[in-house]
Amino acid sequence: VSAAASGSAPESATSRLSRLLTMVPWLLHRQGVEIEEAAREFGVSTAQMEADLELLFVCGTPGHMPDDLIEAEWEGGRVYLGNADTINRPLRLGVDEALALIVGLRALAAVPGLGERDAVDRALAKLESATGSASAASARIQVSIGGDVAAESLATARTALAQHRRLHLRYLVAARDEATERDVDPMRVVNIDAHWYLEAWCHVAEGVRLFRFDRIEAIEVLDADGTPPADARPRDLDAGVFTPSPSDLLVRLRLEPGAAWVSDYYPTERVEWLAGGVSLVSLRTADTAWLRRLLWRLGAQATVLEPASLAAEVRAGAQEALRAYAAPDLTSLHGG
Amino acid sequence: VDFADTEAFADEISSFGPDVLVEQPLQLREAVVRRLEGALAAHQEVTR
Repeated sequence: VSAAASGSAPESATSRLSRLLTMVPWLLHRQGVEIEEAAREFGVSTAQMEADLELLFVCGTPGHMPDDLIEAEWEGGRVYLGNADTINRPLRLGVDEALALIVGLRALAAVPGLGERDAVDRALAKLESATGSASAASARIQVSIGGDVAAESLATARTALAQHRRLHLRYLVAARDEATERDVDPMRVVNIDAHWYLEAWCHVAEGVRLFRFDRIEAIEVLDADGTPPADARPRDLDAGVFTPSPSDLLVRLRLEPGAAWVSDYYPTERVEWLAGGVSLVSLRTADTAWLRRLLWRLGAQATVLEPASLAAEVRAGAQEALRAYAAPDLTSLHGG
Repeated sequence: VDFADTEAFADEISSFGPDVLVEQPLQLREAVVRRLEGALAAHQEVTR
């Protein structure tokens, strides 16, 4: 019998244990299965499979008597197990675990343009029948992963990704409130905080950019190679989507309760709540045009604390506008 | 221009700052002026 498995990276004890525990009921229900087939099923080499069986051979209930141990035979390439009734139980999930899985699978099934719908639906059906009435509780949990996004846009992006083709986008830049046209090489499609994003190498910006699908107004697969440059690296998204560069302007705002929605609506660095629903918000932005517009409309509900230049712009714009309203000859001017 | 909600439309109009001027109706004009005066007051306080 061969010795321990050959392998590159050492396997963790927990992953081996979970394989061993899964292996017992599987083998018990398939007495005489070929060892190669079992190895394939568990994704290990035949040598590893033999090593696992050797270990099972010395496993069992406490007692140290021969009949306390699992019997394993694999002479002639076929595997037989015996005396393993105590761990002959298929995977069991607690109700809470099953519900978590159901909710997760439902969310996955709702993903627009998902390829592997069958597998998800089958797993869901099994879980729902196994949990019975308990699964009704899961209907009360809703997971939103941006289902409002046009499935065609997502499917188009995925097609381009799979075929390494370039994409043409008409994209709304929220900060400037204008539609832009650009060619991009797709890198991946991700869902973060209930929004779908396309990460791609942008030929206009000459850099990696994230595009929110609900701001993509038009998307088209081009007949051109869309392999991103070798140095294009996906962003680390753990910290969130908005990773404004440190060179962006730091803006601090004081928001009265009537403008509290602003800190939910726009990406902020920090929000500090004061008494009476007043909040102090810090955010970074490369472009202040949208902020000026926001501040005029918020009126007395918001104040720029920093930078002074932005406060001055808001003040100057408001003054200029008010001068026009104060002009006495307004109607005659425009009435012509 | 037709509009339904004076306050919502005043939000939009005032966001254009000096670029848009409401002649009439008076109600909308006042709603816009109120926002701009608020913005002016809020920003004079700080920079003084």
